Amino acid sequence: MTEVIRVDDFSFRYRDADRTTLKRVSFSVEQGSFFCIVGANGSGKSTLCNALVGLIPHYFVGKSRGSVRIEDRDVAASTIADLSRQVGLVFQNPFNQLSYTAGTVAEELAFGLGNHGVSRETMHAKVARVAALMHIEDLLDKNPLELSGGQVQRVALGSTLIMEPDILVLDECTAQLDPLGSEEIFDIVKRLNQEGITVVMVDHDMERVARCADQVMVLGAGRVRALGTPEEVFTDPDAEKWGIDIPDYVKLGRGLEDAGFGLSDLPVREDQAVGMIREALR
Amino acid sequence: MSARSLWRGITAQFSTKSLVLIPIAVGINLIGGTLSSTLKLPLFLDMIGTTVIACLSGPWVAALCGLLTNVFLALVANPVYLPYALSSVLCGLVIGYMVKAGLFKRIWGVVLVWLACALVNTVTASLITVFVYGGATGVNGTSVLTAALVVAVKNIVISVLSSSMLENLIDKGITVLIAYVIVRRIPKRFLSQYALDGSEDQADLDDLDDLDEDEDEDEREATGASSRESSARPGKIDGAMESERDPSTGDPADLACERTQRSER
Amino acid sequence: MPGPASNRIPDSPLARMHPMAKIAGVCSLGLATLVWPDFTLGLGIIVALFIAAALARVLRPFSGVMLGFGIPVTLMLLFIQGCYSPRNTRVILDLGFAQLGLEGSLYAAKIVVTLLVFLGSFYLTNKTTYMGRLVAALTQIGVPSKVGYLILASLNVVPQMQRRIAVIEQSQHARGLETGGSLISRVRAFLPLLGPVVLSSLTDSQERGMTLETRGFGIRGVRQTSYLEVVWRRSDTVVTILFTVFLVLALVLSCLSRAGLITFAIQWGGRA
Repeated sequence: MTEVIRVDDFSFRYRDADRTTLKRVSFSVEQGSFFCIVGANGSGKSTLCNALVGLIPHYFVGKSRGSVRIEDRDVAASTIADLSRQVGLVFQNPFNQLSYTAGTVAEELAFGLGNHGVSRETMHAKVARVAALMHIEDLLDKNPLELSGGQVQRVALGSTLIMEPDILVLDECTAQLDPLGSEEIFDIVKRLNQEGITVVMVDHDMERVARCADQVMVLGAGRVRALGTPEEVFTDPDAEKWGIDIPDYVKLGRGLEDAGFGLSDLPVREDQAVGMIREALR
Repeated sequence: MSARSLWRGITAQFSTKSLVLIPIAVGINLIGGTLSSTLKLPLFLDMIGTTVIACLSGPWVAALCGLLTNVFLALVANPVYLPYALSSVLCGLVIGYMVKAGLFKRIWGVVLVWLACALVNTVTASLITVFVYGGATGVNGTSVLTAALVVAVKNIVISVLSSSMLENLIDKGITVLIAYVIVRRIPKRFLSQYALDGSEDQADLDDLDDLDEDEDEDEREATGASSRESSARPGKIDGAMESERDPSTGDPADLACERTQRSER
Repeated sequence: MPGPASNRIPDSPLARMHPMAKIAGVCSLGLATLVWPDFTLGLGIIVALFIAAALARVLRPFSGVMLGFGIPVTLMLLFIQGCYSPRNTRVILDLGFAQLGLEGSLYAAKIVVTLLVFLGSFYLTNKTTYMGRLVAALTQIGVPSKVGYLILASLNVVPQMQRRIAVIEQSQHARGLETGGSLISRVRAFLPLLGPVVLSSLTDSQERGMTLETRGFGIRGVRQTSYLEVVWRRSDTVVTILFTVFLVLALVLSCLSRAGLITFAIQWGGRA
């Protein structure tokens, strides 16, 4: 397995801020893996996402130290535009992810390609392909500003994917959507991951994190509190002190343990919980 | 040095961060205009956004914002507004450079900005009204006032100037006041991303070392996060103007909190 | 790609025309009217613009704009310039309280037709051009993408902000805050609703900037391309040549006229 993201001892403080947002963060992400970042509000998750795509240090002003490398490219020495071919970012508010230059969804999707000077024929082909992937073929001629939040978020994900990045960074990208819209986006992300795209996801839904993550990293007050597989992280006795919610299945398992059932492992996923309950009922 | 570094300084103001502000500032300008017509005020209030952006991104971005506002008005409302782009541009520059000189931090400075803006707008707008439109544009109360004055004093230029001066003093007074309140309420973490003098970036690089120093401090902060909020009340006094307005956003208190914390350090 | 397919602009010869050709038209017609010694040429162009508006199927809004602007400004200028212009020598009408002078009235008429030609041609261009095509055309000739962004984003962001204001306004109404009443109470009702929209719009801009940056906006050393194709057709060449010839002709004729070398059929009072 090769590392596609390598963050080394990275610290960052926004200009004029009273505190340092990220402190000596180090981790790496392997190619094709599903990497989740969890933590309380204000723990630096979004800042970290911005650092992965080069918005820090190229867009946000502040002091930084340490390094972020994406596929052996030093982010600080690169440009956001160059990085956009390797790593794409989707964040929370759908309507802030529109370019506001497009009269139609098709133009919106093509915006990034136009900036990179891609020829019109290629553009049309890629727009058609991404639209099919995101299930937005029927929206191509619509004005993006007249769509629902869920639809716009799919357009935003599409405009990111059209750059064909190897890594997708998702910063709570379903937080403002209704459950249905949220699942639609999520299904697409899971499929992309199965097709080989590395996913770095920030999310508050711990059941979901436990279900898909290969690795989970817990951030607290800008520091890495824990890093490991969902099983390791969520069953850690200290987990609740890090300011995160733990999956209900873990709580269920603890309850069963307290009630005198001896369990081999605490469950973090639905299938594990089902197995555990079966075992307990026997 | 001069011409080239001036040009570089101007182009440096047009970062993506500033560029995305321009359409929003144009929107604020137009909302002011809509507002004054909804309230049936005989005013324009169409420079609130220009003033705000002058505080964030500097004079040339403000000038461009003024230009675009008039172009936009010409496109969607009435092409009559197009020539007045000149006065919007000049006002943007004047406000921008006065803000850059630090005048927006003091009350008397704000008054100066108001008077300068009113004066510049009066002179340029009147000249445009006289030389482009022959005295009246037929779209506002000023034209009627001008017509009345023409009857009284029988001089077109003087009539246009005096009706315009009167209107501008009131109009720009309200504009600058609203812009001042808005700028005061912008969250600091947003404001600090905009540098009015480009020198700050350099200074930042020097004190990278203090990243370490506050690490222990942060530990304390993390544990005592709740005590931080309760200690933030004293700042309320200088927010008298803001506290009258919508309390639901809670921004003024936050700002004041951050301000007091900084001064303690 | 014929015509602006995607944005509810009715298909017409004017809509299919290349945006740059239309801009050439606005400049040519406007400047020709400006240099022409009297208002007659402008009047002719205005008639032509009305015909063009009918062909482009925007006659009704076009007439609304032209008359809505034209009538008040004509009356106002006839009053100000016609009665009080210092260059008045001949009185053509005695209103009792003032006298309508010929020179001032002609000057007013010239200003009005010039304004109306600019207004009308500009309005027609605006109404028959999908802005995305205009910006695509500008991109093709190498105009920086930042300029295109400013044009399009302003046209998209501003209505969005106005909708947000309208929504809040409605909710204020629903909460019983009246927009009627005295001036002070109206201002009181409005200011608190303006603040949050303005502030959230400003802070939203930060994320919008992030979006642009991660989409490669403002990248250097690359010539930008656009999704929309704007074809310059032979008819566009013909039209542009016609506009140019028209402007040159108007320039030459008015120079000759001002120099006193030729006279027009209609002589206006003391002008020559």
